[in-house]
Amino acid sequence: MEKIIRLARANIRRHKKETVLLGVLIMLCMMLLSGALSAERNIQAMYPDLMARTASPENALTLDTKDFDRRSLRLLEEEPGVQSIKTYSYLYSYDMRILNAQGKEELFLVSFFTEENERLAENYTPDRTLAETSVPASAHPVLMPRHLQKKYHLQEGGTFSIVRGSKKYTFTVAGFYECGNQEFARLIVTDTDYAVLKTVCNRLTDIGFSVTEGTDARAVREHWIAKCNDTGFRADTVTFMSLADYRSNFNTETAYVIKIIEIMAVIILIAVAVMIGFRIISDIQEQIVSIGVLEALGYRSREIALSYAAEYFLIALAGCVLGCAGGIGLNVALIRIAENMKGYPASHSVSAAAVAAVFFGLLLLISGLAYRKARAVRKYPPVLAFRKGIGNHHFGKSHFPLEKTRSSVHLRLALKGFADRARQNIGLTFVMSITTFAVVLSFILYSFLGKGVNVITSLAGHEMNALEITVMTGIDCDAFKAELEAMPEIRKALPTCDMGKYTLTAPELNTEFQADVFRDYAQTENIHPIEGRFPQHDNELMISKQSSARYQLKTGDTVRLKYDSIVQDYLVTGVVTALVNAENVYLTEDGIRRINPTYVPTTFLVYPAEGVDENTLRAVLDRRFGKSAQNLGSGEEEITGSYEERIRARAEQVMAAVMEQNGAAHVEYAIVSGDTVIAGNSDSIKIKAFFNMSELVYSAMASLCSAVNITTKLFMAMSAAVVMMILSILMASEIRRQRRELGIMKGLGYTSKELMLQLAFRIMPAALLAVVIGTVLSVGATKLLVSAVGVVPIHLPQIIVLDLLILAFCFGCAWLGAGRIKKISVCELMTE
Amino acid sequence: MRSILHTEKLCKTFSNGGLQQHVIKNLDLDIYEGDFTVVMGASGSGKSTLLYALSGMDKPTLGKVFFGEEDISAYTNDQLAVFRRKHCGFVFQSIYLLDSMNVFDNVMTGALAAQKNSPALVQRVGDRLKAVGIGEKMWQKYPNQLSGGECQRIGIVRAVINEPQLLFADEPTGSLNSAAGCDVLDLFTELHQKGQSIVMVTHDLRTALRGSRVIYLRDGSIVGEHKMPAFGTDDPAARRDRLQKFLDEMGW
Repeated sequence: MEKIIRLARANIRRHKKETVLLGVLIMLCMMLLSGALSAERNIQAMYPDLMARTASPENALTLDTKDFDRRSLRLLEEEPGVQSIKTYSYLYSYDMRILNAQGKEELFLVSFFTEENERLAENYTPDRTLAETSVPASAHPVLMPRHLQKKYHLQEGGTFSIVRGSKKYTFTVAGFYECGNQEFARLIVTDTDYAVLKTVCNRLTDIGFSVTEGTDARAVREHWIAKCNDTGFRADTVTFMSLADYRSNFNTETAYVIKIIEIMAVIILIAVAVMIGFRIISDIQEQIVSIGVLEALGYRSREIALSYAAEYFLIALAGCVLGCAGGIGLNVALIRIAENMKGYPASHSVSAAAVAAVFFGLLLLISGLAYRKARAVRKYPPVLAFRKGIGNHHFGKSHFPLEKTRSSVHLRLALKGFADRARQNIGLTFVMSITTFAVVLSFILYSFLGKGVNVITSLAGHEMNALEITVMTGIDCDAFKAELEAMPEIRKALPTCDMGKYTLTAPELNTEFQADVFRDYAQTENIHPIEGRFPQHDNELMISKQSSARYQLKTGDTVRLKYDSIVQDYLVTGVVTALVNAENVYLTEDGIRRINPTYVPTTFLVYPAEGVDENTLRAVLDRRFGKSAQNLGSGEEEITGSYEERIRARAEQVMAAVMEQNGAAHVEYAIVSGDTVIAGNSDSIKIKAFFNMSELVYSAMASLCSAVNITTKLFMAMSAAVVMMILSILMASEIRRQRRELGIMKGLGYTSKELMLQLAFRIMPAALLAVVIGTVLSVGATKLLVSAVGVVPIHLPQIIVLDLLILAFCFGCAWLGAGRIKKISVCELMTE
Repeated sequence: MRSILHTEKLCKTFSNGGLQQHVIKNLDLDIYEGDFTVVMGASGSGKSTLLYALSGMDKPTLGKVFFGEEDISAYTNDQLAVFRRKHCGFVFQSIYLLDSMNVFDNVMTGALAAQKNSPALVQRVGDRLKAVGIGEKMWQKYPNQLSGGECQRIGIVRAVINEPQLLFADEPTGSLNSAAGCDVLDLFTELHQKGQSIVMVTHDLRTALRGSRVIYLRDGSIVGEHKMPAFGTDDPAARRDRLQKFLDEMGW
């Protein structure tokens, strides 16, 4: 054993730089794998731990408070497996904005609770260091979920503002609390503020409940809604959220980062395996005479093979020990990231099992692999070894004969060198294919997800480039469209229907679809058929990719739809990508009128002209059409002017409130003031509300996009580092193995630069092949990854440029690695 | 005769663990066009070191080496490589054929270092190989399938394929048996007779007899020089005796 270790140590000393590089790769692999696996366990436990602490309901049925009837709870209680029912009310707004740390408005999906309601919802344990009385009611104190503290950089005693229309609400942070609901901001306000906010927010009631093990909460919800409908309770506005949904969405970003890190570690491991193969074969060929001498001295080939395995065991041991420390650090870093993202604590404990498994797994794998490769020494008994091994005898075909050289002799010699090393090239192509795959996939994901809103526009299945304007009932649709399109700030306006307004039943499929309606789909910009074509006639529709897969529907099939009592068959003409509209069917205006003859468009998608931003567009629309009913009805507008002007303005506010909140189509008023009658009607109020869908989706996906942005860049950088290290090791092995031949070539008059060029060119066929394979695989993988939602736009020219950059990078790394040739002295070679 | 290479105060020193070893000391030497210069001396006298310094394989520590009017001792390594491929050919004791290439490619590698490929070049390589007894059947063979003598003949073809102005040889018969060595020496004689300038290092009397000028080195300095008529133009026995006498005087 001692002599085996001595031989191994001698080998390590001979190739210090390569040993260090290999050790670094193993260390990285150990660090990434152990850190990621350990952190994954702790991060996965974050949400269940939070739920246990807060006792938040596992499932929640949410409905408008005005639709809630306490008697419907009895129907839920009757459902088998349902327990711990609790109800609580709150206010909710989807069109408020928070002024962030930079003073910019940011969409803020917020709910307002009183302390009493919060106590009904979950274990409420506020964390205040300020005395309750130190923030007076006039400062509008709020208690804020802990996860928002870091997101908005807030401290106790600090203030923040929420904007709705032109009205600004400023609150003071009185403390923080742990909140089980992560989907939107839940602020606990004073009873007085709650009463004020009631006038501008939706009033909702949650029915929270748990289910016993084995009970399907969704089935409970379906059953309960059916019973409510049968018994006359309104349940058509119910939305449902279960713990499982929260859990899967809770740490999407961190989970994504961890998966990327794990994949990276596996790529490095494969690279290490191939590199070990290269090095051992190089070492054996370089040291073949020494091997013969050792064998002649009585060493067995098994002992020599073991000495190689021991060399890599020692390198792996050093790498794993150092990687262990890195893994512990990475574990903490990942958990801190998750904590920062979510604002809640997680266990920082290191999973000893995960670390030990990776540690011993890597040691075993690397040593085993090294031994397997090193067993090649058995092929060289002493006499054969003295003759430099049978491997050096060539009886086969000479590749790329030099007499056929047409252009550069260096290129020819490079190709010759490439062709003579088939096995090594297979390994190199394999490793580089994987790294290219990683780089190109990262690049596609980066250009797709990393830039945020791109993903939404390309996959949404919904027009994302436009501001949505909902108009008041009775507006002349064509005239309004023409009026909008005549404005220079507007590029075009497309009439459509309110999102989710028309729920069409598909009885044969036992499901429901939401109708999306456009007069001419060719005018849309984000609805892309990936199969078939847009609907053009009244009996045609398109479906989403998800629906196509779920209901086994394809172009040419017929779908039967029902709305109220009318049933119609539609022909599927195409399948579209739909990230947010998976349950939509896409109909023409004539198509929806077949099933709903009274259909009129109520929403306009307004596309700003180039260079016009949303705020400018909103201002222009406000000037042209006046404030929206939503804005007017909230009473947020400051009323100024003469007495009559103030009366008219106030009357407009009241009309708008009546129209927006109660659905009135037309309102008239007459106010007697002294001898004067001030009269008017709602004809001037044309716009009901504005809505920006892209902002909403972007807000929801912002953290995921940010995580993708960072990790894909990291992934590309790490892949590049791996390629660099691999090529450096490969070049060092090559130069060592060919030291004698390179010395001879120098003696013949080849310059170091020419030889560097030859060596660098030698890897290029493998690199080229690897880039092609890696690119094809990554494009395929991207398509597979997003096949559930549709297609990812892959810009071929960009990919080609990236591939060329990868090739240039490989060449550069190989060129630099080959720089060691300069150290070969032709004189030393000849005096050896 | 015109001098094509000369040295001025050439010194080469090696450092070994802080110990300075002066292998060549202030050496002034001229190599003449068409001459067959043989460098002799005891082991460690600096023969090979002088050959490498003259041929641009190595840089002198001090002093200058002029090729014509050009001071090659000031060249960078890459400039020296270009100098070697343009003006020099080398034959080594250990032959140094490229194991991974067949016979023809070994010669082509040397040829293509200095010139572009052409049918004429390919033809010339073939002709030269045939001229040294390496027939077409052997062209696809690899060095380890050939005898030492065959390899050295290929090495000589590779060295002269670019028609260098100077051919350097370091113990070219050192690793060959007597018959193979004789064949190789005949090749050198033939080249010299055709006007090739040759500088050869040897410690073998039989090899040195092929030269027209013998320089004797001792401790890095030239201590004697012996001139002879071209090989084959005088009485071999008398030639041998004169050289033997010269070497005896030098303490060989």
